[in-house]
Amino acid sequence: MTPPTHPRPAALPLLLLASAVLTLCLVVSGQAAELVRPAMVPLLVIAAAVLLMLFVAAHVATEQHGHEQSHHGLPTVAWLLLLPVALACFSSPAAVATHEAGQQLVVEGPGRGQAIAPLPLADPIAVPLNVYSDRALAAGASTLDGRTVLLVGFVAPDPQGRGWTLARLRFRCCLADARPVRVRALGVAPPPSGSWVRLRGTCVPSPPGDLAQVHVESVEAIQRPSPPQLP
Amino acid sequence: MVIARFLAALFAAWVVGWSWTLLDPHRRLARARSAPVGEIRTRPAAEVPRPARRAVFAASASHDFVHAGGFLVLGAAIAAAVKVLVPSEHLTRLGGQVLTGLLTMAALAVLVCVCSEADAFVAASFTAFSSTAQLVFMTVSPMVDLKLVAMQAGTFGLGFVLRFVSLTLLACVGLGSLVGMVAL
Repeated sequence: MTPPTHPRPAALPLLLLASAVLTLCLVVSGQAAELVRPAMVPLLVIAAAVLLMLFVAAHVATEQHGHEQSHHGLPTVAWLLLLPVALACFSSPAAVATHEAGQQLVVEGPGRGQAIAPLPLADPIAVPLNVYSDRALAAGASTLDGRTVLLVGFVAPDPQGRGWTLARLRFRCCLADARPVRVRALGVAPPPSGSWVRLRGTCVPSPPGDLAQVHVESVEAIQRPSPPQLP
Repeated sequence: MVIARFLAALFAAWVVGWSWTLLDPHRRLARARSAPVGEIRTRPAAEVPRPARRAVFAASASHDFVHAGGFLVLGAAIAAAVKVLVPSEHLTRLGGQVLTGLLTMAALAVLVCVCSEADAFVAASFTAFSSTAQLVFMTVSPMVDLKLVAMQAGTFGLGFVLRFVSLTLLACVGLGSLVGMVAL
């Protein structure tokens, strides 16, 4: 038997190139900002650059020493690196995020020990969802009394089946540890689940241990913000 | 809680490090299995020409990346499966009793693989558990979780993982509870 004339592409350069291209694609398409905190995106660019340099080095080594030697010692488990590449081709983090937030019951509790200053005087006033939730659940909530607020988030079902909830994810580190902040919306029919909306409404007191609540005056469909998670 | 966490983690690291050193003086167990570029390591670095050194550096870095990365993917896949299949919300109902609370939080720390930057917020959200159980969660989670275990198994072998993980878990749960009882 004659040996094959065309050498198979060596595995190591292939894996390095695939990982680098995946990272760059995620950054360029903006999906990276939905998977990790925006501050970490530059680190991903650096990592991709290092991987590209390693790819060049591995490619040169393969050309010089031939296929057998460079393939020698590559662990089988390394092929698993192709799995994230395949996943990124067939799924979207946005869908995961919405699903995740709809499923989770454990939500961010109110921040403790922070002094609550009066809100600025604008009317109506745009308030981040976590700030609204903190203020509404704070003991003796009075900073929201008589105020009309504008809240932005996406529509998620209410686990208790009373109305619907406005939700937005909050990252500590990345999507894997994201927790939804949720506020129950009362008074209007639910918009399509997963759609992004801006609510205009007023604070309604909620029972102890329950979600913060808002009485909705009007709902307006909006574009998905970028990045979609809370700062 | 901040000081308690610092102390519990420090004590656990001390105990594991010292017992490892005393029980295994020749460090036979923790010898890495993967040696990417063998023969060149036997010569002093100064004798090797610079381009060859660079090639060895690149080859080692690539090898470490695909090796550790493969095991990271494996661990992350297991962690993701656990996150989807085991509803952690139901586990939180076990928080009532002291001992089951401690063990549940330790098990959660291993299973959910929260990164150490975020684990304090996650621990704080488990309000059904005692603060000692939350401390145990924060002591275990940076030291033992599925992703780390998969990578350790890949580098050092299963035997190492069995001994190391059980020792570390015991130390973390024991010292975390002890510090929690004294300080919290």
